[in-house]
Amino acid sequence: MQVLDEQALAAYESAMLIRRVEERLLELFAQGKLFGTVHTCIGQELVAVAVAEALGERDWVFSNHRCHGHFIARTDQVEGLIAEIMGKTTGVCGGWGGSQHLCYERFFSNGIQGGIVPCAAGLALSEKLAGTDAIAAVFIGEGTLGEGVVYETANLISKWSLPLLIVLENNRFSQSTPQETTIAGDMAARFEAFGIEAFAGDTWHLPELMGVAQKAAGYVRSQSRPALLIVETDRLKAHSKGDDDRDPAQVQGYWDRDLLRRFEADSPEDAGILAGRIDERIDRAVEDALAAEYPPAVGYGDEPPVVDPPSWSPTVIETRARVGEALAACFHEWMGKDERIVMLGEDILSPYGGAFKATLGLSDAYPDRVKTTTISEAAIVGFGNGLALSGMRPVCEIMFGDFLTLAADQIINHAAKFPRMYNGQVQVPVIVRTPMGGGRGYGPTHSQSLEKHFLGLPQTQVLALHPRIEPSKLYGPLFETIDRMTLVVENKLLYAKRLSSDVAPGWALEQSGEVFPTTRLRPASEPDVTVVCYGGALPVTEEAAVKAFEQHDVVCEVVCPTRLYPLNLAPVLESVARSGRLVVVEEGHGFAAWGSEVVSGVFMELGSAVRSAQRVYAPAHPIPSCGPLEKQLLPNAQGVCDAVVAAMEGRSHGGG
Amino acid sequence: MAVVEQFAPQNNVNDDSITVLTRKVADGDSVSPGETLMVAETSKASFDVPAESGGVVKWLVAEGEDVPNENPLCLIAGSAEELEAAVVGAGAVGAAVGSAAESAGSNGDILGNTGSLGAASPVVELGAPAGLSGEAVVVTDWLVPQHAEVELGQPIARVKGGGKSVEVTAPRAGVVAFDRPAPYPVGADGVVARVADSQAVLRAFVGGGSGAGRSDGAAQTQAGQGETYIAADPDRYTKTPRKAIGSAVRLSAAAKTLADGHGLAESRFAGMGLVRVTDVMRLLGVSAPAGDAQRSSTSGKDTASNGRPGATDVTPLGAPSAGQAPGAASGGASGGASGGGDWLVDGVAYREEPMSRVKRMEASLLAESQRTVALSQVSLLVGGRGVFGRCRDTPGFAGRMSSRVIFESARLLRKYPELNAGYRPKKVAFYEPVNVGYAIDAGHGLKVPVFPDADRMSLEGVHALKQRHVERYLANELDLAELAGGTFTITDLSEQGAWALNPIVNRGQSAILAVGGEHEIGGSVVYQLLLAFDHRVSDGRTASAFLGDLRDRLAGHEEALLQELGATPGPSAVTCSGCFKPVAELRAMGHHLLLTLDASAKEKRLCSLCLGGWSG
Repeated sequence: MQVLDEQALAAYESAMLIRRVEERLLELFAQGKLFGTVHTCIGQELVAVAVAEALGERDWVFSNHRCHGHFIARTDQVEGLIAEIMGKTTGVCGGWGGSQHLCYERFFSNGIQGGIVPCAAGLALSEKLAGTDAIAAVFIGEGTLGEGVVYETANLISKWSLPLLIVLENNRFSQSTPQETTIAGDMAARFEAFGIEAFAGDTWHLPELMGVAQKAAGYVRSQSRPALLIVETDRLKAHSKGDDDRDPAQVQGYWDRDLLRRFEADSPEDAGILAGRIDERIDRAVEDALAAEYPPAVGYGDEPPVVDPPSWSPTVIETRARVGEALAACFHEWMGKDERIVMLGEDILSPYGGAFKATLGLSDAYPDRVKTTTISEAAIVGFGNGLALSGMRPVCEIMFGDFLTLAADQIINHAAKFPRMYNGQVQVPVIVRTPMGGGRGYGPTHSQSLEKHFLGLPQTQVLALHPRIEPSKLYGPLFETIDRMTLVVENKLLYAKRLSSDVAPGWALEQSGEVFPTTRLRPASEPDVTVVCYGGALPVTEEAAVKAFEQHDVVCEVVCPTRLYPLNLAPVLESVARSGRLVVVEEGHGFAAWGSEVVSGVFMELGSAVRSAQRVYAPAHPIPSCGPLEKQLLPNAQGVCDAVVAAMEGRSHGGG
Repeated sequence: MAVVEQFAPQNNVNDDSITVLTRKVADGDSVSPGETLMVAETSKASFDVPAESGGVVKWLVAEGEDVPNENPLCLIAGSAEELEAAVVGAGAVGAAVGSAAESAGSNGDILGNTGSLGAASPVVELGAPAGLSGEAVVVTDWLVPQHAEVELGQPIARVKGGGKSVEVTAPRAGVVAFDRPAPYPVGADGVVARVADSQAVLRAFVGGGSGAGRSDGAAQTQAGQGETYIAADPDRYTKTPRKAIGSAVRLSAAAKTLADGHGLAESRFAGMGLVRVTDVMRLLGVSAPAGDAQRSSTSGKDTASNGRPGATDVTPLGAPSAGQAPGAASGGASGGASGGGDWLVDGVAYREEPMSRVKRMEASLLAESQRTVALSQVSLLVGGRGVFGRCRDTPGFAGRMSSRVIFESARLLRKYPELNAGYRPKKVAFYEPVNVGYAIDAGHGLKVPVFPDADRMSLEGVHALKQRHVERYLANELDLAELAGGTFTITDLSEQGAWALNPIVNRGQSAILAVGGEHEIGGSVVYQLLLAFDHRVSDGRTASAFLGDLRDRLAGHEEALLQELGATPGPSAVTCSGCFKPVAELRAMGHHLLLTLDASAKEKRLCSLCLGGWSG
């Protein structure tokens, strides 16, 4: 009989707890008591145990889809985990997250491969900026080495010397595919190429594994440098459920070398005592979870009910500064006021100050908090997400809105998901700001208005800047109230426009009392048509309003919300209830876009009081570089004016 | 048999209208198929128009009238009764027979305050055809799309009742508005369709101006075209009153035209903010149909709260202006040198002819803008030989080509009297003399000195007078007498770089000629002749014929001048009198030479650079 030291016994107990919980989960699954599926880490438990042992209380952990082991080893929340996977309110995420989406104190997991790495790096950056010795650890499998964002992050964590421990659990199978089928080259060398120190261990030698985990974590902490810890291990069960095509004989070999099984064989007495204690706990946990409630039915989330019309006041803009200058000034002011604000982006350092100069001079004043990056949009926003999870106020600049697609995973599957799937335990106050729109001949990949693809994501908001509101009147309230991922669309033609509250005679410029004010160009007569637009479409729409009156005898009221989502329709409804006619203008493509929402929302609320509705948007082509063609494609004053006349006459104006 | 419309045979596809020379049968006469109805004339020939079918004739056109090919000449019915049924049944077809004013006055089908608006009512409502017997009358088909623009007499809907089916024709040109998709029944007081002056008027009237339509009964009847949706409570969003915005008054172009036409000063709109046609109509006492009651009541509130005058003290459209008694305008064949009121050029003799009915109808549509010309334009691109430019740049030749434009235009006006005329209600005044005004604007404001009896002047005389006018203009010495009495105007940009402009026909006149500057396009020199004209008096065909003739005549002058110019130095030798830069160099810099006259009437060429510094 083997004599174990205390540390080893504790490790086996922890590993056994993980294994027996997962075995119970498989039983519950077979009994139809779980939702979805479970990815067990049976065979890999000791990695979790070793790393958890090496981490301190203030350290952060980010895990992946196969996270039960990491979670239990780190938090010991067996009851919360079982209830969570059974979809109960008593689960650690109230039943919202389930198996792959866990959160407890400084532990997070997500079901998306790769994207968690920059998030964890953001947590590490936060600690670095705060000057603590806390570190972050992120668990990935070797299959995740195929994700590009891992390398975007590896580059930046090394360059910025961030305390991030990347734990690579190498079980040699990506779901069903053997590693040698898909993975080329050397795993550790990938990271070493970025100057990241690599450590190695395996789950077949416990003391060595515990040792190397301590060593790697210690290195990260003491050097404030990133490190890679590769742990060779065996997955004894299927990837998920019933998807194991491996040769049973081969798998049997893995079982034979499994330390926990050997411990149970070698120390049956100890193992028996432990198992009894563990099973008792699991029985109780399952019993409690079965008795617990499912989460209550929910309402419509962030999309607000229509509220009474807001109050309105005249807009007075004293400065004649250009939007871009005012933006940089606003950031200066707020970075001085709020030390949580961190700027991330490409080319944003002095003297360049960003492609559109919105960060001009910021890095001179706040060198630590203005971080310029490689071309790594996903990492930029991923770092932002991590910073935001730790309570910072990151502002991520995406040089062109077109590149936002590269960060879409971070926005959609990370930032937008964390708050609700973690049952409100976290907020993700990250700002992603980017110039959208054409008009400068930049062509199909630098001229788009892609915001419609980012509208309607739960737990996010989308704002749009325009030249009738000072940037500080939008960013100020945003910095004061931000509690969620916020995309700010800054149409690129606007940076050079001068702020002004002067409007055409016969109209008054007003703004609502909303946190993010709606701008309204109110005519001195009852309006015939309400024209709704946002951002870069406002100048065009204003021009069209004057044209429609002068040339077509039609009085327009222009309503321009700054918060596109969630959208408060009340200011629009107030106007359409008077005019009875609606035209919605937007620069992006029209199908399933913001304008569709406005039209349907207005119609649902006002019914047949809406006599006609028209939309103006870019027709379904890429935005061409050719000037005249681009001009023809993008909404212009004439097109808006035509739509207004069409709305007036209750006919189609021919689309687009 | 049915009532058929007789059209002119298409003898010549190049003509889009015929002129009625002689009517061979009278109203109420019976004709056999093939019998000659009338003699018509086109540009090429005169010919007999045979009856397409036999029956009783009802004329729709008068002798001397130009009739577009798409308009019927007369109706031929199987019997007098059928004819009567068709004519009366078509509701306002009376308007096609009599004048719009008569129609409006007699059948009461005109909406709104017809008493004060008379013929100029912007919207005519067509009632159920009275000729169909008392059964249910149904509009079975629209013959034109909703909101189509229709001509006078054009069939717009088919109506069935009492076993008969008749076409309802437009009582006037305008825009048609149906209440709902056919088929639909029309009661005794029901409406088949409305015909409005313009889309803007239609919108203001039927489409309903400001304020959301409601799903209440009235709006439903008025909109009529769709299902009723149960709305949420729109009042919820409008319960907070809005504060007034300043005191700005701004009229849309259409509203301004309407207001000007009625002599409504801008001050009448104080406090109304952005003023539309609807708002002007409201001030004129024209109320919207009952279906738009909400808007009306809102409007009423506005009026009361702003303390504006109500409709009663507004001068109604059609009321005579001071000094212009309605009777005075209906006078005989010749007018004196006075009595033209606000319509004509003061002090110029004219003879008056009644307008054709078609023309009268056209004019009546525009009557709400009495003193505003119904502006139309025709332009002609002329391939030239650069003579304007060569004259300008050659000492002793400056302005010679322009003088020829005046000379030839004046003589052509004898051939085209409609262009030397003025519009009076239902009449055209053809001015006896041809007094050509020539617009000059060289820094002392726009002045239009007149070449009296220009059609009788010699070319040398025209040229000499032009030089005198320019000289006196520059010296600020032009007196009122020299500026008065123009019956036609020429604005000449040939010596400047402008390509063309949008000239405004002067008051009391019916046309203005603009001569554009020469431009090189694809190696050829071209310039533009543009004639803006009052469509109530003239038409596009006349205007383009005038321009064509003028072009041909100018070509001869060009040839002659080129021969004379052959012996003179070319443009490169010409320099600016101010900076002495040669013209070629100036052109390279994007500048040009202008001909000016100094105090002693000497021609002086100044470049646009020097001139700019000089006058600026």
